[in-house]
Amino acid sequence: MEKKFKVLCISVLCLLFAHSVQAKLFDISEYQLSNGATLLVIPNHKAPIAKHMVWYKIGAVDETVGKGGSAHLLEHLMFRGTKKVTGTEFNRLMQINGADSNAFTSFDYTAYHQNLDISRLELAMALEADRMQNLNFSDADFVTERDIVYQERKQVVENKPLAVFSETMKKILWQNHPYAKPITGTEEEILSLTKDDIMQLYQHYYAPENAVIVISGDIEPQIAFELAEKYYGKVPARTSAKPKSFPTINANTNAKLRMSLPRVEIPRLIRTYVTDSYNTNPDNIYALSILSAYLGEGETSELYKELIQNRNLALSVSTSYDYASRSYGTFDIAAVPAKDVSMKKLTEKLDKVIRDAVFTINDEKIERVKNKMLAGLIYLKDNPFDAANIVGALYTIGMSKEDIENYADSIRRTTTEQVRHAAEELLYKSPVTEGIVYPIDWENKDE
Amino acid sequence: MSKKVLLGLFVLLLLIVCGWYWENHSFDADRIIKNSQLGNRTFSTPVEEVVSPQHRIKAYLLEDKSNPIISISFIFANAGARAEQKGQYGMAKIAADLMVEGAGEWDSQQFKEMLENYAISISFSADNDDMSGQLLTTKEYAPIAFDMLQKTLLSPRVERRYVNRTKEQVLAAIKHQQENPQQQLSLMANEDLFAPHPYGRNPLGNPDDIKNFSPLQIRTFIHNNLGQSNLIVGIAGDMNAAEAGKMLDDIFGQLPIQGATDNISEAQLRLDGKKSFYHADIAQNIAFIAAQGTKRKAEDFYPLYIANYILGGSGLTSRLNQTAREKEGLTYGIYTGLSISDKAEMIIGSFSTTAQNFDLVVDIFTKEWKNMGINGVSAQELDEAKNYLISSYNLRFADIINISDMLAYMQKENLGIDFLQKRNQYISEVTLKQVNQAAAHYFTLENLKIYGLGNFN
Repeated sequence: MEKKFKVLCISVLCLLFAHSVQAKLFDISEYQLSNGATLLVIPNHKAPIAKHMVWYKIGAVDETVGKGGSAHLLEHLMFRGTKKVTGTEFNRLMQINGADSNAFTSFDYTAYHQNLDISRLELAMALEADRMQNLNFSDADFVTERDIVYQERKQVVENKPLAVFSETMKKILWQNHPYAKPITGTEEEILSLTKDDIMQLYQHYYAPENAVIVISGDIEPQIAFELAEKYYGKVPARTSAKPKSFPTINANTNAKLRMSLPRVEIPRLIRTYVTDSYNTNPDNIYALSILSAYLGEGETSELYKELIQNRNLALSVSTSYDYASRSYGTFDIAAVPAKDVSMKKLTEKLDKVIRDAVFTINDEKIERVKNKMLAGLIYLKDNPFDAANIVGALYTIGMSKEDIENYADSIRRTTTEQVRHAAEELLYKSPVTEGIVYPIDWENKDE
Repeated sequence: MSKKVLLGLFVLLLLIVCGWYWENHSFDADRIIKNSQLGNRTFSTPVEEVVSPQHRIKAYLLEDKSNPIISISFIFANAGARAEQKGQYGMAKIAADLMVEGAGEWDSQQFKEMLENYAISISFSADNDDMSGQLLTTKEYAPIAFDMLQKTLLSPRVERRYVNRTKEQVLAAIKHQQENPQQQLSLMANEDLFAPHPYGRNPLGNPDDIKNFSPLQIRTFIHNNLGQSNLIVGIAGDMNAAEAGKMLDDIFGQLPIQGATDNISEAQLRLDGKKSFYHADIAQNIAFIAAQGTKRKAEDFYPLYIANYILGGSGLTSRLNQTAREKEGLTYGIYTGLSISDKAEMIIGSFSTTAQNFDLVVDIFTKEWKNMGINGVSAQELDEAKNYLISSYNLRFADIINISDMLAYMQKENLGIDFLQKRNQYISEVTLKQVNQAAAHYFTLENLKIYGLGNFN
């Protein structure tokens, strides 16, 4: 199945910033079903279609030590049959009914989704409710799916040098925190997983109270609620996993990674700070969001103007901030040097531009950034599929409906002083790892 | 207790047991769909043709007031890489990138500030055939957006400082292509299949040519190729026909009358039924498959489309994925699809797998390909394919940019203004005989070339 790792979160946030808002961002209706499952409905009546998603609050962070990749393999095996819908019949039913169906696993959650004609929504609900409680795959299918996941890791990680670099960065940055490990598991872990490992995870986490159902499209909330009770309400309530506690990251981490890898053609710099998320410090996430937009999002940001437009030192430079995590958030700065510009020179100038940009933060600049962040939120009302992805990810990591809807107000309320303070905390007091990847035999590895 | 009562109790018990068994061991998808309270929605997609009052510029419009936003997709036909002269390879891509680096009175930064302040998006791209553009704006700021787009088309800055930077970025993008083994292999395959036809070139260009481009050459390329004669426009969103007509005159009315012309020949695929393998030290071997396909307006387009869908176009339920992935676990995925350019029509495919599995998957691919040609598809497979293609039809209306893109594409391929109304009918009318005739014609071993990249010891 497709897997988007943290990329989904990041793209979610980018979308929020790229576009922007009214009083209520999505007009979400929130319901609790009788068995403890949550239902979120986002009406959008432009076409008779919907996106139907089931998010489970279980991801790679919830795996037992040594069982890396089990959450992801479970996601695959969810397409291998139940007592009623055997083998790969789920896929066939979705296909002949015109649904685009898939799933993904991240560190923090696993989601199953279908884009479909509204006339097929009830079918998808019935199928998802069934596999919420009746998973039943054969031993042979388990082995085959484990082989597929092994091939997937080869394709999406090991054949891509930048993915290998990114995995190494994570190990150094996160150390003994579960965000350090690969979501796919390592090759050895994948091949050692057993059917029991998967079923334990399923029975422990795939319970109604651990599920968030999202329906976005041409449907009235009350009808969606009645249908959700009809299909999902039948799944017996059972006790699910308790909230997980995460290890504390050493605040003094300041690591540097240098790698030369075959098939890398151009050098790249990436710096990742461990910082606040919605779950560790919700009050600070809007200031950090504004800071990221100010420093490096888009082609009017401070870093773009200075390093690309004015000085020709970089071919690309950007920042991104991800607060949609169950544990810490991350703030990334990425850059590619211009031709004949050494990494040493690039990093020196990058640091200087950031220092100057933070030093010169003022009300006028921050107001301008805020206005850009909010200017296009109306576009979020267009595509019902995007809305489901954004709302589902944010809600599943623990964000309240009110906080999702009040994004624009939260941005507006954030003061210049809060942004400056967030910048100083981030840049001078947060754990950080800086990685540089070079082509093999790169001559200008000056440091 | 009489026998009758006992018998009655027995029957009752039997019914309860059957009911329990049915509830727990059966899943009736057809019943769920039939009884769904959400079915039978009518959905109309009236497309109208707009002709601007002053310059007679035509466009397709789908008015939709559900959200106060507007999307305009436009194509300058024949103005892609194929419009490049010798020594200019890469000009179309560079020109497209430079269209948004300042225009009229605004330098690059001022232009981008305005885009962000008003939540306007303007973008250009170039492929082998065409240069295309896209504008997204709110209704509120539409006049500003239209003014900005008009200036990008008539007076893009194309200043030396922006040209130099864009060249460096494209040269880096060409290197970046080599980091991705799939991209690397498809570039090698295209060269082998098409060179010296323009489709055999890297669409990003030739680094030696790119280094020599001057701002004047790029401006000349834009002026010579972006005209009213090769302009195609699709409009979706909160705009009526009168507003659309005025917008067309305002934005596109001052363009040169004459744009790029169709001046290249059909491309002949160099297919020899053989395999070509290239060595690379990578974790998984990659395959790229090429075969002759059919034109979008050809009579056998829908039959071939359906045959391909069943073979390798339907995701995990396709014959190829069922065999190579779902049954054998040999690959993460294996796909085929139709690739239609103006001068070449292909069936293409791809998969990747570890070196020790590679021959097995090639063997499965070849057998399934041949089997499709010899035995065709079953009536059930055809019905199921039609069900998917018809039931999934409305999904294309999820996104306003998709809709305006579709309206432009309908004109480019001359599909007719009523295409959206008729498309499902086109699918439902396809017969088993037509599909199997198309399958027999295209899925032969002679019409197949397999390229590989990786370790083949």
